[in-house]
Amino acid sequence: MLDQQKEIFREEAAELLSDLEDSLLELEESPEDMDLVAKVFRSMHTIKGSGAMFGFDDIAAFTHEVETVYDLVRNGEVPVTKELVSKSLAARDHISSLLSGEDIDEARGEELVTAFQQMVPGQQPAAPVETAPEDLGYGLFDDAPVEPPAPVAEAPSANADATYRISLKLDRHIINTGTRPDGLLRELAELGPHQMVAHTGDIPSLDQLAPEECYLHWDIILTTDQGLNAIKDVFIFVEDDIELKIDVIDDGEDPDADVDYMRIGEILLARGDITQQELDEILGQNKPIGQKLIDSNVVPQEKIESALKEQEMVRAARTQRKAQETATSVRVPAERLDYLVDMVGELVTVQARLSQAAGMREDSELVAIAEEVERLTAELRDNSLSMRMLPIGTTFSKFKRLVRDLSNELGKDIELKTSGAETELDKTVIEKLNDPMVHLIRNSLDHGIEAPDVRAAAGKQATGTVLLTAAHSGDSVEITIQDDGKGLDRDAIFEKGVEKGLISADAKLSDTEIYNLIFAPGFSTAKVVSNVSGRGVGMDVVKRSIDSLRGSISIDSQQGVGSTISIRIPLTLAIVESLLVSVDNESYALPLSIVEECVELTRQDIANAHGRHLVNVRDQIVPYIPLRQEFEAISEPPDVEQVVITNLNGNRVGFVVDQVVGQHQSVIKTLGRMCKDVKGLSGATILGDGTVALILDVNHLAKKVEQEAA
Amino acid sequence: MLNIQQDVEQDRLLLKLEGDATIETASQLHQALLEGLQNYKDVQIDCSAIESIDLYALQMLCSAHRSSVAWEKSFTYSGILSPAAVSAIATSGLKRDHGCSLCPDGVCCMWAVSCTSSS
Amino acid sequence: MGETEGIDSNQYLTFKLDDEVFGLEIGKVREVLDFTNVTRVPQTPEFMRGVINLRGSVVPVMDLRLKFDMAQAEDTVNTCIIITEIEMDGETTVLGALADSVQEVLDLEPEQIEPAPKMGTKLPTDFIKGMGKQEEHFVILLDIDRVFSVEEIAEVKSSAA
Repeated sequence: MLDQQKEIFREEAAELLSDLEDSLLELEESPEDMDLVAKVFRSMHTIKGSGAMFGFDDIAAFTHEVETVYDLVRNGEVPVTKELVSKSLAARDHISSLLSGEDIDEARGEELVTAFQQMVPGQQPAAPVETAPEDLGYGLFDDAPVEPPAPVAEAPSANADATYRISLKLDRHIINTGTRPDGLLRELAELGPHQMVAHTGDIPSLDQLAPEECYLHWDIILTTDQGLNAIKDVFIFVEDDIELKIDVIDDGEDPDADVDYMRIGEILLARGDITQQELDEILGQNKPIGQKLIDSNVVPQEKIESALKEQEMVRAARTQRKAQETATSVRVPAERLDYLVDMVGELVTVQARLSQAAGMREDSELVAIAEEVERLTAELRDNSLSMRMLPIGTTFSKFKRLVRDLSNELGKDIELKTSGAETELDKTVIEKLNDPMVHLIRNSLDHGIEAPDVRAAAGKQATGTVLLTAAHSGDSVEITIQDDGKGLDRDAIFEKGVEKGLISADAKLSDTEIYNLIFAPGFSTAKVVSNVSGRGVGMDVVKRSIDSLRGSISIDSQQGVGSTISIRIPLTLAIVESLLVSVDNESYALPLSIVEECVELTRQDIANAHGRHLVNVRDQIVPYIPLRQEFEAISEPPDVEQVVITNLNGNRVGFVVDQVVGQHQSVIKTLGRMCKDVKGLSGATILGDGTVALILDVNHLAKKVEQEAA
Repeated sequence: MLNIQQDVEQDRLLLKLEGDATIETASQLHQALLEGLQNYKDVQIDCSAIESIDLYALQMLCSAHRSSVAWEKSFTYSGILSPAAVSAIATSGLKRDHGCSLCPDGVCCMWAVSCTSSS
Repeated sequence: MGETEGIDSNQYLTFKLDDEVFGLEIGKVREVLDFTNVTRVPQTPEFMRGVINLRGSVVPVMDLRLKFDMAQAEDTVNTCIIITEIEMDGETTVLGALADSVQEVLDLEPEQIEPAPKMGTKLPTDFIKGMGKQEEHFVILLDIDRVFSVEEIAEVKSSAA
């Protein structure tokens, strides 16, 4: 049980550390941003607190030192410096190693502890770590000394649920303004959950009472996401006829706020219903505070009731927030999601069979059911696939750190800019993208971007830039890594290609073809092998990784200006919308996203082309691949064949098939070890009738066109 | 419109409120309550037929109760409260878990849960 | 008798290819399927009949006749696919083997098994674990892992490239 909790702590802490790293890197760029400071502080605070709770005392003790400093930073007593951020990043790494229990460098830890302790002005001796669990007492009957009330935070913005204490007193003759107090209260109540306590103390006896005067005043505790101004707006027309005091008692933004709230005494004190002296005197007596306050007659019963309501309200708001947080994000092991996606894949297959069977029965009721199942299955599929979608930004932030550390190591000044971090991709794809991306970025830093003096001599900004972008395009994501470095040396690559026997010396190649030579196995242009990029692994490995994701990679470069590497990756590896065709009595699927149109190919068309594999599509000549020929068909071709015109990275390529069957939701299956290296096929899928259709690897097949055309 | 029906049984006056007990009818209610408490030992108020009631009326009930205690008389509810009355007590913030400090021990507060919800 | 160990290693599923009877360790056999629609995979060697849908997984099917250089036969009602689990580079792979018909499950004691003959069979001796003697007939006990060994996969690769 405890181990399980520890495991959960580890996972959560790892996440916190990752966020912390982002915050620190951001903080380095904008040291004035107090929100970031608060974020860092909160992360440290949480790690310390839960670390202590789950027995990671070393983590708690270490983090305490860092937290102390950030507490001071938060209060403006210690400035944010580059030094602080560097030390904090190092501290983060140290916590990370303490967490995993690997590579723990104790000397380094002590060094950091000392460094952080020295940052505290007046440098107190190390304080003992608070590892005791926090007091979960309920407060009302608590004799503990009262802490000063928490400083009231600045007005929270709209959208976050904040809780306000509103003290409202109306002018007795408010009715003369034409405003009904009932209306005001109702309007206020509509802003959110609330507790209202009307104070009746001013109501005179019946013979003294003027029936048209208002004697009541209120304490209202209101939780709303509309912001402070919305509350003020309620009273906009009676501003001069009321006494209004609004305090923020819970800004709704501190997710770590204990559900526990201020004690009754503190609330009354904060409201000014009681003085500190009165409170101290009462606390001296040995009774529950609520009772003491009543007995002492210092505070009327209803004020206590009102304070109790405040306590209750804030607790409720905080409890709900905690509950909402747990409800809005549920931690699920990745394997379970993968299993779910697999099952949905099976379901999609079965559903296709159902639809087919229903269609053949000509039973309208069955067809209706099948259609409903189809709709539900599609929704279920989209939903479960989207569950595995993660913003690619999770990896982007790792790269920020990589660039920061590497540029220091290389003595270069390099900035990483990113855009499209919110672009979502299947989790498994993101994981598999990590290594190739790291490699490419390292490459850009090491070989692409020049040393500052070289840059200056070339009239460039001393600071080099690597731009990382991600964007959706159709059913794939395009990722680019762009640097403003020296670019690729076309001639050097060509020579190297000849030297390595990849091309002949008299080959006529386009720039793109030459650049893409760097993806050939064993190709590396770096004259000095630095410990930054490339030790054994080259760009060919990157290309292979991208290929395995059914993606493509290309490079564009301009000497002296920089290089851009573009990677296209399908959104998900699990299911693809495809067009089903038949060739030689077998079914094949090709991704629907690349299909432009289907045209007929008659015997006459073939004859007109004089043996060349070209077809005229609305006055445009499109090369095609006869799949029958490719797959060594044995049966006779139909009189009229079909050409599926596809668009592959801007090039139109046709695929000649016997028949176009229709659309299909293809759950992608691997062909297994035995056939995984079969060229021209990227997998298989199961059709409605239970048979297997093969998925065409159009990119590979299309290469034959280029070769033929050349 | 507020209709106040008065029923007298020995020392006891029953005031039955029907309709709207609001600022418009506040004087009418004030007069009835004041006269009632001045002339009878035991005043009961029936709020079962109230269609709407506002703060002004509610604070008057509070005042009447308090006065009754001071004048050593009795002022209580008779019968159930109409839904409009129950909700008005809640939305005005008068509803209490316990009676207020101005209520002497043993005398039921007009706004305590135990009184407003009982029949 | 040693029945407990018999389940592990002494039971063999026998099947026919042409006139020959072959045996497969029962532990290697997952199930036997009736012949079903096999999807041909282009650009693979001839003995690779194609792939089938085995409850949602795509499983390759090999024609053992062609693999063993025997004449190809028409598929009949008796033709079946023996689903086996083979070890390949330390990983388990599921694979179907096409057989003319399945015979029975045979108990063979170690003393009933003779080593593979150096000659006299059409098969490479590598593929044969031993010869089981059943009454007057011999059963060729296959080493299925070897039959579809790494070299064979390479052949699939090279002929496909």
